[in-house]
Amino acid sequence: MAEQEELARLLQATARGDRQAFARLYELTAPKLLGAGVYMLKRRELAEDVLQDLFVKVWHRASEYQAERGGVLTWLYSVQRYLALDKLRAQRPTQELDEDMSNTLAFEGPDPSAMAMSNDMAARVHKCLDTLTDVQRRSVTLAFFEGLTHAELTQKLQTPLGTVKSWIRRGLVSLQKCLEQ
Amino acid sequence: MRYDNPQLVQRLASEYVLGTLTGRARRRFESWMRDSYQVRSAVWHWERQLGPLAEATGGVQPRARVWEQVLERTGGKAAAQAERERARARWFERLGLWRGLSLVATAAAVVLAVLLARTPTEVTPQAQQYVAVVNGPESQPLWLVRADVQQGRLAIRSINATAPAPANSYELWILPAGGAAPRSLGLLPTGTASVDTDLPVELRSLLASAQGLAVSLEPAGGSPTGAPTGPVVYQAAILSI
Repeated sequence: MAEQEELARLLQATARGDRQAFARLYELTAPKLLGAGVYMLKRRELAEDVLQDLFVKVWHRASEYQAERGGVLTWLYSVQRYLALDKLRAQRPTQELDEDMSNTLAFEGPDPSAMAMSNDMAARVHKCLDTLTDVQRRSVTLAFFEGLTHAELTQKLQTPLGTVKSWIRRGLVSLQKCLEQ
Repeated sequence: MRYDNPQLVQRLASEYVLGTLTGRARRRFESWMRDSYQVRSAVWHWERQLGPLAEATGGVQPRARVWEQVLERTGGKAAAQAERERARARWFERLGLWRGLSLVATAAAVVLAVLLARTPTEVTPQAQQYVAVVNGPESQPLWLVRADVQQGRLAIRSINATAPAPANSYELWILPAGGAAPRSLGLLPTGTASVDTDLPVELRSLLASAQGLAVSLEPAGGSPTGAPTGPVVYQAAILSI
């Protein structure tokens, strides 16, 4: 994929201190990353803070990227998710989940046309998600896209903790099996 | 520690990546990751598996201040400023040189004139020289363009301009007055390369009245049609000296 190669080249140049490449890397990936960040954090300001932290980290640690972590974009999504999860965990104990918050955003969530455009791997993951039971799929995707903890899932799905844990565990095992085929 | 239980490692790695491994268990798992390649490798495996899901969320354009703060926090603002000043200093030196050579006959100027023997040293009353600086998104200079109408030469120097993807080339265009179709000035060098080439006769007369220069992203080797086919990525004003 030409885009993957270009991102890899830009990241390598960034690791060598090339600011122009760093700017281009930001230009190409920031909107996609912010889309995922806003979806998870529900507030644009928070998502932009995380995006900022992510790129500061990328500048200092670009050389730590390894192909084993997937494409550059996948790696950026992963690192951003960890930063976002930390942010969520840091503020959620004091802040109740506000179901209305998502309505204040002009953002409708996973976009079917983006799914159609994304690469083969994404298509495979989606296909494999379809092999999960409804409750398994719902708990795995809520955890992934919204960063919910077991306890928050328990509340949201009105289901005992043990059940939620086993939905997630079995969901991930089935997902794994399907992806390995 | 039970790194030797692959099933447990897989399960914890999947929940770590998903985010449902929280609190102390998460911190403990992170220290496992630091200690064990096997554990890290399981995490990377799950990052590759689940990561593509994130692509489904669509895009949101960040506000400009996000990038500004990234620059601030990575020392990029200071670096951009210093680079601009260096470029300006280099530029003034050259302008001074072009203008001053016929006026000042000091020993130093003679030495410089010898060094520059390959370039024209006579400054004619009418503007016959044109320069343009193509700047990048952070106002850092990417290319210096110099056209000498009298000699019919065009010199383009790349100041560390990053090469586009292998399937692309940057092409330079002159934008004639009155909105006439852009005319190609050729492909742009990248890195530290420069090109020195003939300035076609028909383009010489366009320079004086042109609206400016534009750089477009074209297929490798340049536009197949003779007109820009890709996006215009940079523009620059033409100055006469």
